[in-house]
Amino acid sequence: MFKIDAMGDVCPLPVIKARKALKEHAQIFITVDNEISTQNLSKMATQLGLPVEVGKESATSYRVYIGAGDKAVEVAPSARVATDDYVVVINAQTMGVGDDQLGYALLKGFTYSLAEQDTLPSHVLLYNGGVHLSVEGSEVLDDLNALVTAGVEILSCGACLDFYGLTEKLAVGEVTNMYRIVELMSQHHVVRP
Amino acid sequence: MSKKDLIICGGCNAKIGPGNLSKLLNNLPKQQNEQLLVGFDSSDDAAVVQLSEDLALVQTLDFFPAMVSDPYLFGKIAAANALSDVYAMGGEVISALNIVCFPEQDDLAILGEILRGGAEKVAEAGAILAGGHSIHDAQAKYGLSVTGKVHPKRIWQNNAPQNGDCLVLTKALGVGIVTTGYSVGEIGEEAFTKAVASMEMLNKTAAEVAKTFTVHSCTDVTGFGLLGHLSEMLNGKLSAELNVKNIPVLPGAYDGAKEFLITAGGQRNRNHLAGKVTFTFDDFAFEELMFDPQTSGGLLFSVPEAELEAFLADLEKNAVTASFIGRITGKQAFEIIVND
Amino acid sequence: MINESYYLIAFASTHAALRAEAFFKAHRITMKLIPLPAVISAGCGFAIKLAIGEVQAALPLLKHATFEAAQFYQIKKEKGETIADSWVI
Repeated sequence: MFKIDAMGDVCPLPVIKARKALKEHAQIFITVDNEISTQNLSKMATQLGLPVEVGKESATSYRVYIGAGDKAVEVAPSARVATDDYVVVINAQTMGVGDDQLGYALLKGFTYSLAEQDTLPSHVLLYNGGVHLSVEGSEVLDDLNALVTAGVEILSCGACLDFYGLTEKLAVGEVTNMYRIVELMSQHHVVRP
Repeated sequence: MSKKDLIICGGCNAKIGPGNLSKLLNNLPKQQNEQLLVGFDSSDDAAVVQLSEDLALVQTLDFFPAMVSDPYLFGKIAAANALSDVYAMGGEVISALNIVCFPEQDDLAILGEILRGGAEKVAEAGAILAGGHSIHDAQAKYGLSVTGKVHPKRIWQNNAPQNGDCLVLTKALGVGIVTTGYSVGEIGEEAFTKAVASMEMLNKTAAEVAKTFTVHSCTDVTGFGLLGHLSEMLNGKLSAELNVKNIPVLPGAYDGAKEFLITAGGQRNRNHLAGKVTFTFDDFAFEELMFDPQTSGGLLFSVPEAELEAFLADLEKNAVTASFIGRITGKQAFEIIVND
Repeated sequence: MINESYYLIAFASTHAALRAEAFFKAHRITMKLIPLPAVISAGCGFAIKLAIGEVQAALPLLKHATFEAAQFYQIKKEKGETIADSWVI
C-alpha cells in the first residue's frame, strides 16, 4: 500500500497528492491532520468509485485508506502511525555488546517493543548482521510486518544481503543502497538498539 | 515563490465555519436597543444603528489572509470584499480604516503594496481612507473597517425574501476553487486572471442599480458560498428552487472542481447545510461550486418578479454581470432545491 | 488499537526466560520471547507470550520443564489499555 504524508497540508493538497498517487497505485493510505481533509478525500474516492475508510488517531491525526481490496479494511483499525520523527538502525543480530545469546534475546525484545510503540519511525534500516532480521526464517518477521502494515518502510542493505547470500531470501521490505542509508540517517534522529 | 510574495491561505476560505460560529453567537447576550436596526442576531455581518429619522449608520469590518500571492492584488480584493458589506445593506460608503496584520521580519515594501491596492479600491468606492491599525502577526492579513450610511426605511435585510421572488446573482461562482487550484499550479493563468478581476470588482454599481428597484432582500455571497448565504436569506421560513443552467461559473472553475481542487471551506459549508439542500441531478463538480467559498463574491438579490426583466436589463446596461438563478417558494421539505 | 488477549509466563531470571524459550522451541510451541510488560513489572525482564490456542499444548509440558516458571498472567488489551490478571494453573 502506497503511503502519503499530508500532515500539515491544507486542502486541496491532500486530495491532489492522493489523486496523483492513485494513478500509479491501486491502494493508498494518506495521513492528514484535520477532519475536513478526510471528508474531501472521501468525496474524491466516492466520485472515483473507490472504497474508502477513515481512521481517527486523535483530533489532529487521521488516516484515510483509499483503493480496491480488503487490505484497507484489514489494517484500518491500527492506532499506530509511521511518523517522520526518527529512523531505526539495526546493524547486528544482537543488542549491545556482551553475551550473544542475551544480545539476540534483547534484540528480539527491541523489535517487539518497537512495533508496539504509538509513534513509529519512518524507516527501519538494516545493515551488516542486521539483514538477518528481514529474511526467511527470521524470528522477528511478524514484528517487521506489523511495522510495514503501519506504514514503516523496512530497508535492507543490498550489499549485505549479497555478502551473506541472502538476496533471494528477503522476506519483508525493500532493498536499499548506501546513498539512501546515509541520506536517511543524516536527515533523521537515529535510534539504535 | 519570491520573497515579495505572500503566503496563500485562503481568503474567505479561512473563515470559521458557519455552524461553529452561530453556536457561539447564540450564547452571547443580545443587546436590546431600539436604535440597533440590524445586529448579529439576524446573521448579518454589518451593524446598522439609527441616528435620526432618515439616517442610519452602517458599520462593518472584514479582513482575512491572502488568497493570491501578489500583495497589490490582495489589497484590492480584501478592500473590495470589506466594502461589499455596506453595499449589500443598500448603503453608501463614507469612510474606511485599514486593519493590518504583518510579520515583523517581512519586507515592509510588501505591506506598502497591500495598502496601495486597498487605498485604490477605497478611492474607487468614493470613500475616505482615514488611517487604521497594524499589528505584528505570523501571517499577513488585511481588511477594512468600513462606515457607511443608509436610510432606515431602505435597508436591505439579508433574511427577508418574499414567496415568489426572483433571485438575481451578480458575479460568477468559483473564485475559491480557481485561486486555490492556481496556488498549487493546477489551474492556468487565464482562469486566474478572470477570477482576480471578479474579486477586485466593487459591488458598487450593482447596488446603485438595485436601489432604483424594489429589493426585498440582499446579501453578498462570500465565505459560506452561494448555498450558505442563500440558506441564511431563507431564514428557515421559505425555500428556494435554483436552476443550475442559469448559474454563472468562472472559466476553469468547473474543470477544477472536476479535478477535485476542492477547498476545506467548501466542505465546511457542505457539512453545515447537510440535510437542507437537494440536487435533482448528479454533478459533483457543480455541487462543489455551489458550496465554494467566494472571496469578494457578488450580490444575491431577492426581487419581485414584476421588476425582474427591467432590473436585469438595467444591470446589463451598466456592465454588471448578473443572472436570474432561481425563485423563492413556500417552505418545502428541503430548504434549497437545485434543478438542472 | 486491535483488542488482544494472550497468556504470559514471567520468570525469576533472564536465564530462566532464555531456557524457557529454548525449551518451547524444541517442543514446537508457537510462542514469543518478549520484554516483560510494564504493567506487570517496571523492572527489566523477559517473558514468554503464548497465544490462547497454544496453552493446551504448552501446559502439560511444563512438568518436564528445565526452567523455573515464576508467574502466569492473562493479558488483555482493550482500547489501548493493557490489563494483566494473575492466572493460576
